[in-house]
Amino acid sequence: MTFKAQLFAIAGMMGLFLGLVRGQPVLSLLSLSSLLWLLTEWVLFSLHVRFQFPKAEFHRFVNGERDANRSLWAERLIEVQIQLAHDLLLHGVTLDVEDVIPENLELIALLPNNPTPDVLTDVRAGTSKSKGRRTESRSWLVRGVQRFMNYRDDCPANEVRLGLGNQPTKWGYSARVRAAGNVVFPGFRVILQSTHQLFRIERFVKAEQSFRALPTFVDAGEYRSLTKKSNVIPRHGVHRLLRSGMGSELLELKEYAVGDPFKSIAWKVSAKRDQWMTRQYESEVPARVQLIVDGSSTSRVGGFGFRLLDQMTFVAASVARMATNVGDPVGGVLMDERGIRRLPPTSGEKGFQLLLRSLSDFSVNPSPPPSPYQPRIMEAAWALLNQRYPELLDLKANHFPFSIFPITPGARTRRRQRFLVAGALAEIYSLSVREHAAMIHDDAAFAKRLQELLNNAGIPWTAPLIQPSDRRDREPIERMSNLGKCILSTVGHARDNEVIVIMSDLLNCVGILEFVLPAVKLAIAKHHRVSFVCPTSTFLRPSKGISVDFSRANSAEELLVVAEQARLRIQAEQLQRELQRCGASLSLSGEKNAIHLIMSELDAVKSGHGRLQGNLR
Amino acid sequence: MSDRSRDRKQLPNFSSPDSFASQQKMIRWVGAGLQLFAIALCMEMLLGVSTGLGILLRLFLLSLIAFCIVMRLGWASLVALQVSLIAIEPRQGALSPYPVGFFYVLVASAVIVAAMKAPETHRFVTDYVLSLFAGETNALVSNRRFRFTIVRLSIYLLQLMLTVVVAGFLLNRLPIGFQAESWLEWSRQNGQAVWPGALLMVLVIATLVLVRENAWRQLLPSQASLYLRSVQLIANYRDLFGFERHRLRRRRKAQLQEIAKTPPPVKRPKLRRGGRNDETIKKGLK
Repeated sequence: MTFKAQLFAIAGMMGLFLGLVRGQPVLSLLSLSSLLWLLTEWVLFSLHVRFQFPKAEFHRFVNGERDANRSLWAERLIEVQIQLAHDLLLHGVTLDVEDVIPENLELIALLPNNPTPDVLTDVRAGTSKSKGRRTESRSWLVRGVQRFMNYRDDCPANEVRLGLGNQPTKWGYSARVRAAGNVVFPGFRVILQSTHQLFRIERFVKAEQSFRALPTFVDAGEYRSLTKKSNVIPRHGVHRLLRSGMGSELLELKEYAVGDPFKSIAWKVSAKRDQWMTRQYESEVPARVQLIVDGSSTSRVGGFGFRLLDQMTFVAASVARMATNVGDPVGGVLMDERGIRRLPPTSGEKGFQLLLRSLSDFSVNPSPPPSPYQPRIMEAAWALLNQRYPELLDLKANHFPFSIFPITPGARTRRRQRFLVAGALAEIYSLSVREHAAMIHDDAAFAKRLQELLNNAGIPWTAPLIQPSDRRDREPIERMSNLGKCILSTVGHARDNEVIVIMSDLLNCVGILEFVLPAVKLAIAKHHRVSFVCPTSTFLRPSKGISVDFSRANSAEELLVVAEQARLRIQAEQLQRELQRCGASLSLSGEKNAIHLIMSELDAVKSGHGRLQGNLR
Repeated sequence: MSDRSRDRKQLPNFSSPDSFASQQKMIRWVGAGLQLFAIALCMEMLLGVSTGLGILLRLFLLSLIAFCIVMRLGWASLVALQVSLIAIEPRQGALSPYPVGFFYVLVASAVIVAAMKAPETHRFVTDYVLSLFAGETNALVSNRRFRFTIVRLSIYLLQLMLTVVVAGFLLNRLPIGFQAESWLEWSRQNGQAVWPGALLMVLVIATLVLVRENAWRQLLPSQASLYLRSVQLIANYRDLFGFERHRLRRRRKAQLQEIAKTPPPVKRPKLRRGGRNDETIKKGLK
């Protein structure tokens, strides 16, 4: 029973009482018939709840398939179709169905070939771009008028209203996968309410489907430089190195030394110079690419698609694609706070798919360490429980002891919420009464359970971004130290002639490179080639061409971006100088169009030409 | 293609889909406004029966009623009618409503329900009006939604009439007002029996049992479990609160003891040339 129904019942009872006391028959009759009408409505609604509501089951088809073992791709559109499992007989009630979409999905629109035009009249070609609640910013009067007109212009595409005569068997929407990781559809939020909003019941129908979202990549085919560097094109999977070896291209001539094969003696040159000279040929060997991806907690900050890690996985997948196309084996080292995960170098399409799957799993945010109780975690858990477990927050089932204190409304609301959430958590995790009571009074125990709830729902709760000062100072040092160890470990496992591509946020760690540089020097001393790819927080490449002009910024946000670009530019130049001294190169990711630049730079590094350049283009 | 989309395509005078949509939208708005005005006028007439209110007051009342309908405040309409009846209806002492009163209640209830269901019905009305203008009544009547709406409205009307009849019957049968005398007489004749008190009590208890049983059966297994859990918590809340307070105090004490055990960091005096520290050290040396 909603608040409106309660007011209606109170008005009816008061009117009946006054009518009887004052002896006014019409007033009594009107009030009693209103009460009886309310009773009949309640009976009808109860019948719906008893017999029709349990039949509200839905089947979800993603890209035409119901099987959840398939993979999706980041940045690509998917089509979700929902099918009503059984026919429902809805009289005097409406059923609002919302397919709860995960954070990693962005709603685009209703499907254009939706077979049920009746849905369009209710959903009004849902063009909402986000899953934010509708009409939050509008005034209550405008909302009231819109509700009166049944005008749901900004209704999200994943919601539909079913009623008598309006029961589409199938409807759907399109959405875009924001980033690599996993996409978990938890189920449907279903609200049954009478048409005059006097009675209402809300449930969450579980229909979990989990998909792996693979990172997107740029497929540039078999990448070849446009400038001619040699007369003979090496075989597929073989690269020419400017180092002496047993290839077919001449590298240099040098004086004969004892032990040189006789067949390499350059007879004509020896005759001219009157001195034994031998030919040195270039080395032609397969190059193995090792991708090191740093997925520390700082690279996972932000929404899906806006994390530094998303930039890195995109670059890693593109580089892997390029290497696979030219026949190079590609390996990977994925490092974060949990440790280092090594992927053995593999070549071919199978190896590439394996790497993509590993990158996808790595992109899923891990469970954060326990954090103390904060009001924000409570807000997040309250919202989640309202969405996934509305039946457990129902006051019919979830009772709590009455108390006069606290008196202030805000504190009373907080107390009520805490009791309700503690009750729901106790039921979800089957806790004892003692543990239930502990959650009510012990903040630490409560925070632990709240975090567990959020983690299980795929919403890992992270502590506030502004951490205590000691932690903030220590974190980059720990990260650089781990990265240094990771590079050393990779060098230890490496064979000859490997290209090590390190993807890490080094721009904010220019002052503490001493943890990384020795490992880089060792790698180069062992004849490996090292290239760094740094993501940028502005998702723009601070290239030389971009002028830092504060006067052109029109808004505070633009001003911030320009200032950030200027800061990144300075840091990138410092970083480039440091890495150049060691012989490593640096590329900056950022906007996706820059991937071709990064790939050409990496190609130069692979062939040994760009080793000492470290170009910052 | 469903009937509805076919109907839309058959409607003439709409050159392009955009203009069709905009005109249809406009007609819907106008239809909703007209319906709102009609309901508000009915309500105002019901409220202003045999009263000589001024035109300004009546306009104000009209807008207030329209506002209540738009905001779906059905209870406000009921309260307004009740207040008007309290002021207008004479005290008769007799509680059996005469036919005019019965009709008044039927109309008033219908208007209240129409006000509460206005968003649902105005689409139906405008659809019908649109089809009349387009001369496509037959096509609309064959529409599935139209048929359902007709069935729905009939059920609403039947439900309303039934409730008013039952309410009238109950008011007639209850021992209230002038009927109390006849019931008292009947009671004396039947050996002081308090009929229908006993029957009413049985009915009330049976209704309560049914309502509670229905409420319990409507609960999901998880809700039922939670209900029992919360009842247990409320029953033992005092004891559990005491245990928890004691446990938290002990934990806090243990934490304080642990902090006390760790030695404080040694602070080195800052030696500044020519500063106060320097002088104190020199003094100490002397």
